Amino acid sequence: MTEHNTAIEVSNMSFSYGSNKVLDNISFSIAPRTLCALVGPNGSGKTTLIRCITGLIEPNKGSVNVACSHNTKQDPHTIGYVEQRHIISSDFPVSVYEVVASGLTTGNKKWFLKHTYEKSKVEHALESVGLLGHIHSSMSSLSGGQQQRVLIAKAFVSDPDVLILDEPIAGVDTQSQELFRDALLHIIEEHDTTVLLVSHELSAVQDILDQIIVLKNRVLFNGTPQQLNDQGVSLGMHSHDLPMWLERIDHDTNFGENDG
Amino acid sequence: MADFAALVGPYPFDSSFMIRALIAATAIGICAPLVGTFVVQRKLALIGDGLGHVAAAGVGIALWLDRTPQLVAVVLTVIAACVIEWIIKFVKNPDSALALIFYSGIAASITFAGRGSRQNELQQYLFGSLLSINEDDVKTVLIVSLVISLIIILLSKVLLAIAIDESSAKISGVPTGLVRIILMICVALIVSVSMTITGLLLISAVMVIPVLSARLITKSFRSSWILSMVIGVTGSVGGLALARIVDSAPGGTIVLAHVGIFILLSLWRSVLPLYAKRTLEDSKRN
Repeated sequence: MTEHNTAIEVSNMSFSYGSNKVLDNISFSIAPRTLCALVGPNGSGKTTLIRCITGLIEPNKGSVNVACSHNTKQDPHTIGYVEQRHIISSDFPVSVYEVVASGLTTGNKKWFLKHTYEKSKVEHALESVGLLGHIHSSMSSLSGGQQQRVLIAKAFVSDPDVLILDEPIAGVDTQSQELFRDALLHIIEEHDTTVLLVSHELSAVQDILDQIIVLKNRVLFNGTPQQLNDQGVSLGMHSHDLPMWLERIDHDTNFGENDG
Repeated sequence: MADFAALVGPYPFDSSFMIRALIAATAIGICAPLVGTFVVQRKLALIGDGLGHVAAAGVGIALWLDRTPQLVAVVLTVIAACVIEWIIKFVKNPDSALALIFYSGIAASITFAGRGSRQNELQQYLFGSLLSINEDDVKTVLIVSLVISLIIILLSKVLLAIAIDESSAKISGVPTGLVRIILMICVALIVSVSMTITGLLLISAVMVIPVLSARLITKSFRSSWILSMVIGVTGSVGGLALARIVDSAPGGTIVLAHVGIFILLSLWRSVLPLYAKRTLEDSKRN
C-alpha cells in the first residue's frame, strides 16, 4: 500500500440535481488509517457525496482525491464500497465464497486469478469479519447482519486504501453490531485501511471513531467525537443522543459551524 | 465438419433429419441457459421474447424483399439489442418504450411478410421447424453457439461481479456498460439462430426456464449455472424425442418438456425442503 498524507480530500465540491442543490461547497479531509463517520439527517446529501467520492457521479464543481490519486486514473483497488441497502435477492443462488471472490474482479482484465490465490484472499477477508465458517453457505441462508459483513469482506478482499460503507448496520441486531465493530477495528489496525462510515447509529463504534463529519447539504461539523461531545452532543443512547440531535438540526440549520 | 446425413442412432433418432435436429437442440440447450443465467439475474427474463418479436420483423422484411431471413433478423436484432440497452439505462420508464418496440416488431413482421410471395414461410420462423433444418443450418447453430459460449465463459467472472453488485464493479474499473451490451448482443444472436428450432415466439423459454429450474435446488452460482445447462440439454433432447414419438410440433413440445422439468423440481423441492435442511446443518456446524 502506498503511503499518503490524506486518504480522502474533498475540495469545494458542489452537486445539484437540476435546480436542487444537494451539496454546497463541501471541503474536508480524512487521514489515513482512521475511522470517520459521516452523519446527517435524511436528504442531507450523504449518499450523493459518497457517489461523488467513488466516482459513480461527477460533481458539478470542486474535486475529490482518494489516496492522493489527484489527476490520475483511479487505481481499481483504491476504494472498496458497500452500497446503502444493497440486497442480494434471495432467489439468486450465490455462495458466500462467490460473493467475496467477486470483489477481486476489476477492470485490469486479470479476470482469471489462480485459484489458490483467490481462495486465500477470500478466506482471509471472511476471517476478518468473523464469517470463515460460512464460506460455503448460500447468501440466502445468512441473517441480515451476516450478509452485511459478507459484503464488507467483498469490499475489503482486494486490500483497498479506503473502505466506504453506506448505512451498513441499519436494522441490524446488537450482537451483529458488536461483531461489525470488531471487524472494522481489525481492518483498520491490521490492514492500514481508512474507513468512511455513513450511519445514523454510531453507538456501536463510538469508542473507535477518530472523526465525525455532520452534513446537511454543507459541512455543519467536522471534528473528533470529543469536540462534538463538548458541544453537548453524545454518541451514546440517552436524551441527547445523535439521532435526536440530527432530527433537531433537520429543522435548525443555525448550528454553530465548526470546520476544524 | 462431419456429414450429419451419415449418422443415425436408435429410435427416435433413427433418421438423418432427427440427428440434425438432435445436434441443433443440444447446442441451443447448452448455449441458451448459459447466457440466460445472466439475463434472468438482470431481471430481463422476457428480453429474449421481445428480441424475438424484433427478429420476426427482420424475417418479415426478408420474405418481402426475397432475402435470407436469418441474416436480416441478425442485423435487426443486434441493433435492437443495443437500442434496448440504451433505453434500460437512460429512460426513466423503460417498460413502455420496450413494449412499443416489441409490438412494432411483430406488427412489421406480419405486414411486410404479407406483401411478398413467401408469406407462408413466416409461420416456420415464428413457431420453429426443427425437423426441416438442413446441414448448413446445423453448422450455423454450432458455430454461433460455440462463439457465444466462449464469449460468455470468458466474461463470466465480470458478469457475476456485475450481477452481485454493479456499482462496486463499476468503481473497480469494470466496463459495465460494454459488458452489458455484449451480453445483449449474445442474446440477440441466440434468438436469431434459434428461430428454426423453437421458433421466435418460444426461444426465450429455452433461455429462461432451465435457469429457473436450476435455481430451485442449488445454493451457489456455479452449481446453478452448470445445472441449468444440463437441464437445458435434457429438456431440449427429451422434448425432441417426445415430439417424434407422439407426432407433435417439436418447438412447443421442447418448451413443454422444460415446463415439466420445472414442475417436477418444484414438487421435489416442496417434498424435500432442502433449504431448511441445509440451514439446520449450517447452524449445527457453528
